[in-house]
Order: sequence, then structure tokens, then C-alpha cells
Amino acid sequence: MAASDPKGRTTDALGPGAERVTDPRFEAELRRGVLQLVALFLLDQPRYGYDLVRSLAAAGFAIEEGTLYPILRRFEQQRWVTSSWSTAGARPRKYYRLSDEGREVRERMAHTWDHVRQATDAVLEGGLASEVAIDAEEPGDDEHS
Amino acid sequence: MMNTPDAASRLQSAAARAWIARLSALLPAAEAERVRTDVEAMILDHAEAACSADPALDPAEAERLALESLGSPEDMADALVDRPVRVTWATWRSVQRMLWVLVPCHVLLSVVLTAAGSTTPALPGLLGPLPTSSWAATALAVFGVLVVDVGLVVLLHAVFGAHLGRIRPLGDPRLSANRGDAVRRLVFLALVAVLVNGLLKRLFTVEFASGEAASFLVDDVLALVPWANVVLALFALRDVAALVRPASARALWATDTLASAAAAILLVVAASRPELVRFPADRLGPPTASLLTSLVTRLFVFLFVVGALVSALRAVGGIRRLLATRSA
Repeated sequence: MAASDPKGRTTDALGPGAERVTDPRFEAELRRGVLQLVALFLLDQPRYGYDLVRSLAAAGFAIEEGTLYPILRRFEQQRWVTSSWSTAGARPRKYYRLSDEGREVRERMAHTWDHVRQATDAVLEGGLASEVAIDAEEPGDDEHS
Repeated sequence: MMNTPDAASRLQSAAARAWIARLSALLPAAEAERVRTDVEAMILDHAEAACSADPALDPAEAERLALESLGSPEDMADALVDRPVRVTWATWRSVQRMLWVLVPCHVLLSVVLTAAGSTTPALPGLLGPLPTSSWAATALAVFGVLVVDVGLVVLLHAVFGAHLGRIRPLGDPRLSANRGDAVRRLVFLALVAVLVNGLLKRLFTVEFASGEAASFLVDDVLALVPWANVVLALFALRDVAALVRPASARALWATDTLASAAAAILLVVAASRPELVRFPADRLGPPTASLLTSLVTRLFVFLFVVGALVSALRAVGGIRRLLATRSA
């Protein structure tokens, strides 16, 4: 069950004695940073605007149309996506789809994401390891005192 | 698949139509129609999904709910175009930053023109000496400088908008402390010194068919050459400081600021000389001599004023940098 502390950080209980606190503001910033990459992956198949909003929300990247449309417009201007109108339904719908150039950009972004993720993991794992080492060196510490 | 749907709006609510109309009004004409059809389609998709989830929902109300997810038309327009549609905090900060540099420079140049005894403006309406008939007149003139600069900065933002960020910010000049760059700058200064001291008269000389040559620079301008040497020496001192103590950024900036200020003063004094060039009327004929004198004088004044402005901006930028790093 998730609870929040006075600073608004959420707590996910993973098991007895194990708590992980997340920071909603930092999480929102991180998600904003990778939003373009995620959108480019979802545009592998043709999607219209509201469909993409729902797909992003389902993937955990809740976004409003007012934020998404400028991103799609920029993708179009940079030729990362192509667009076309379809009259298959009751009214015209604009579909967006990743272009060849967009595919290349997406691959570069994905590699960049991998690189950053690995570098971050390396620092975090090193930090956690040294925390464990410090804890191990200080026997008898009472965290509640 | 069709390229673009027909232009007729399918929106049912007046609120949605008004929102779209406001957005279209804020966008450049080339973008407006395309964006209108795209955004309208998004509103209709959202409204359709909302009505599917709640069949009792009124379509016009569903469109109104869709507008909430779009935000304001001003926010959307800001996100779509390079130029700021509204004055936001980011724009205001950029305007302030420019004014903090431009106004002191402008006032400094006006003061120098006043001290040099100039009676005519260097740039009519934009740069000229301050009135000294009374303190009130001087204060009003300084206020006029502020008003002109505010207008200029707002105009720059309106025309260039987001591209302004790509232009090196005013008051944040770059100066490499690298030894190699310092040597290159010293070589450049040496070439300028040779030009100013050895070749100036020869460069600005007009030759006649008879083989005779006459310099068209007046003595008043040539009398400034020693002062130009002082300015060049100050710039050279800056680069010597970079060679001797490359790690001392403050020494580098202090000497650069001093040299830039001296250059600005010298260029303003030069621009305010009553006469800069004189073409021989006895050789060229009075009309031709007068025309050439007028054209070349205007060109020189323009170059001197632009040079003075650039130097003054650099000097003010250097002072701000020194003040900012004083506490570091």
C-alpha cells in the first residue's frame, strides 16, 4: 500500500522492513525527459493524436493533448514523423507515423538513454555498496535513537 | 488517405470554436490553418471518447472538457512558434538582462560624447550628447535613453524571439585564457599597430592621374593615433597577463575591461570630431570632393559608433563578470 510523507514522497512497501520512497516531482522530470523517446517508439505504428495520448497514459506517461500536440508538430517539422489524413471513419483523422529519419533519431536517442542509464546505475550501485560498507563498519548503531 | 480535410469546422460548441479562433489569431498565417485542422481533430477525438465512456454526456460539454486538456490558446501558440506570444517570466528575464547591459553602455557613450564637447548626435535620435543646460534636462535625457533602449530590446524580442538565445548574450563576452589564443591575439594587435602607425596615411590616400597622391584623413584624426596606441597597448597587456598568469581569470577580465572601456572612449571621441576626412576640392572639383567627403565621413562615423558600442558592451560585461566573481 502506498502512503505519502509530509514532503509528498510516496512509499511502496516491498516487504517486511523494506521501504522505497519515490519523489513525484523528480519522477515527473525524468518522465518528461524521456517522453519524446517513448512517443517515437509508440509511433512505430500509425496513431492519431488522442490514441497516442491514451497509449502514453497506459505506458505510465500521462500527458495532455496541449503538451503532446507541439511535440508532434515538432516531429513533423523535423521530418521524424509523416502524417496523413484518413477518412475511413465518420470524420477525418490525422495519423502520425515514424519516418526513416525518425527511426534513426530514435535509435540514437535509445542508445543515449542506455548510456545514461548505465552510468547512473554504476554510480547508484557504487553508492549503495559504500552505504552497506559504512553500516557494516558501525556495529551497534541504533537508527531509531 | 487525403492530404487535408475540408476547412469547415465540425465543432459543436461555441467555446471550442472561440478557442480555435483565438489560437488561429495568435499563429503566423502560414501555420494557422494547418494547426487549426489538427487541433480541431484532437478536440473531436477527445470529445468522442468522452461521449463513448458516458453516453449521457452532451457533445458540446464533451468538447468543453477536451479544451481543458489543451490548456490556453496562448500557451499552445507559445509552444508552437519560435517567438514568444506573451511576455512570460523567461522573456522578462531576457529583457532585464539586456537592459542591464545596454542602458549603462548607452549612457556611458552619451556621457563621453558630452565630455568630448560634441554638439551633433552620432546617430540622430539614438545616440548623442546629453544636454547640460540644467540637471532636469540631463535627467530627462537619461530617461529618454532608457525609453529608447526598452523599445529596442522589446523590438529585438518581437522580431527574433527564441533565436535571441542563440546569439551570444549581451554582457557575457567570451575571452580565452589559453596561451595559444593569447599569442594569436598579440600577433593580431601587432599587425593592427603596424597598420595604424605605418600605413594609415598611405591607406587613406587618393591618387591622381598625374601620379600625385594626397591623404584625405585630417590632422584631427591622425592626432588620435597615439591614443590608439595606448588602447592597443592595454589590449596587449591583457594578453601578456594571459601568458604570464593564465590561471588568473580576474586579471584577464580586468585588463580586458579597461582596454575595452578605453577603446569605447577613443572611438566615441573619434566619431565626434568635427571633421574626419577632407578630399581635395582643387583636384576633384568641389561637388565631387564634397560628395566623397560626406559619404566617407558617414561610413567612418558608423564604424566608429558600432565599434564604440561593441567595446562598451564588452566593458560593461567585463565589469558585471568581475563583480559576480568578486565573492567567489
